[in-house]
Amino acid sequence: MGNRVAIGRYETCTATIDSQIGAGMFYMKNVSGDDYTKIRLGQGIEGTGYTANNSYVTWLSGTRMHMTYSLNIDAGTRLTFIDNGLFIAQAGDNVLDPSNNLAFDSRTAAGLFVAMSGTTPLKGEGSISAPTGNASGNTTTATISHSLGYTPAYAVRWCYGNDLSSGVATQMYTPTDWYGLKIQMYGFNVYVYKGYGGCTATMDDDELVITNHESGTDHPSGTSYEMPARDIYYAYTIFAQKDFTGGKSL
Amino acid sequence: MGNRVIIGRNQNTNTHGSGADIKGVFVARPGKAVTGSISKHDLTLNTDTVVSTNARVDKGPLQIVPTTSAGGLNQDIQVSGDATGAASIGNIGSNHVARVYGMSNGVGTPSVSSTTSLNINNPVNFTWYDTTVASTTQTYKTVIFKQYSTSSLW
Repeated sequence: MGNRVAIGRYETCTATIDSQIGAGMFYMKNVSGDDYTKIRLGQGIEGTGYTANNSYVTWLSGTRMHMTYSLNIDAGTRLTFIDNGLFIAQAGDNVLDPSNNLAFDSRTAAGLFVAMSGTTPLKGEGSISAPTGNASGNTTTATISHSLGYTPAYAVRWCYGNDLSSGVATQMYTPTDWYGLKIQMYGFNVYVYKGYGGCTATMDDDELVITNHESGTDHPSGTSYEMPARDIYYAYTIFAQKDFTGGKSL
Repeated sequence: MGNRVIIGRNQNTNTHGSGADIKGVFVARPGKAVTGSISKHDLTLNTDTVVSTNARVDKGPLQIVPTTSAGGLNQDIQVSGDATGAASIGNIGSNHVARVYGMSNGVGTPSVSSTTSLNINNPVNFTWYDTTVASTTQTYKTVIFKQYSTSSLW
């Protein structure tokens, strides 16, 4: 097994100059072992045929690539493109020539780590009691303060009491709510029933609000409720990463 | 508070599953000392293999592939009905997991077709409350998670 961890210089790919467009601008091509499609903006460039240091990719599109310095380099020169950072391979894999995706890759745009409030992780679970009044459209809420000062990414899942077994959910749902109408006709009588259900979640700079919409459905006079208002049970995780879903739960 | 980071040999058996000591990178969350009396769940980064090479912790933390060359976390794609839209994504590995948020009608099938593009198919119509509705132009907010598991994600 090779090394699993690389810190610092990391060779991403090599590509060979096909032809020069202008000073510091080139068409790239692949020869055996190359892959110009892995070139990324901001990567460092190393290679024989020129002596400039700290040159990096400033623009790329398809096979065209621009570099920091206005250099003339011969066609056929192979360049090495590098990143700097922390790279960790999966167990049994070689970080310098991995067969699988890396377990940790500092070239990613972000990572999902649980946010903290002091020394307490911002994750938890709880319940929200049923709204009052069957089919009333009323709601009840749970508010979780995070005080991060920005709107973070988060995940909420919820379930009903009969989804729990020994306090553990056997199935959970993504946040969504619904409103429905049911129309029934008996002879010349028309009955209209309303129904509300579901659970939604909203997040802002200070708090996560989870809302129980389960006021249930109403019913003809003298009959039992078709679906009563219900408690819901929820679990949440708040991440340190700023929101990137447009405020939606992951 | 003690040290929060170990790079290299870790002799704290509280933080790994097997053997007297292992090598890797271990980062404890704030308020916790990585060499102290802590639990595995107090680590924000842990390269331990736990019990097998398929262990989730070994796959690494969930990370987001940049969707633009400037390191964007998401990308909006507008797709007409009965059409397929595509967005270029950064090339960091392969077999990533595509997720779409904020669709107006929840319509569309995202897929990562290669290491460099995300495709979303917007069907010609969809069913809503047992009624077939022609699909209109949709705007999809796309996010790409680095490969972790394709069987379930959130």
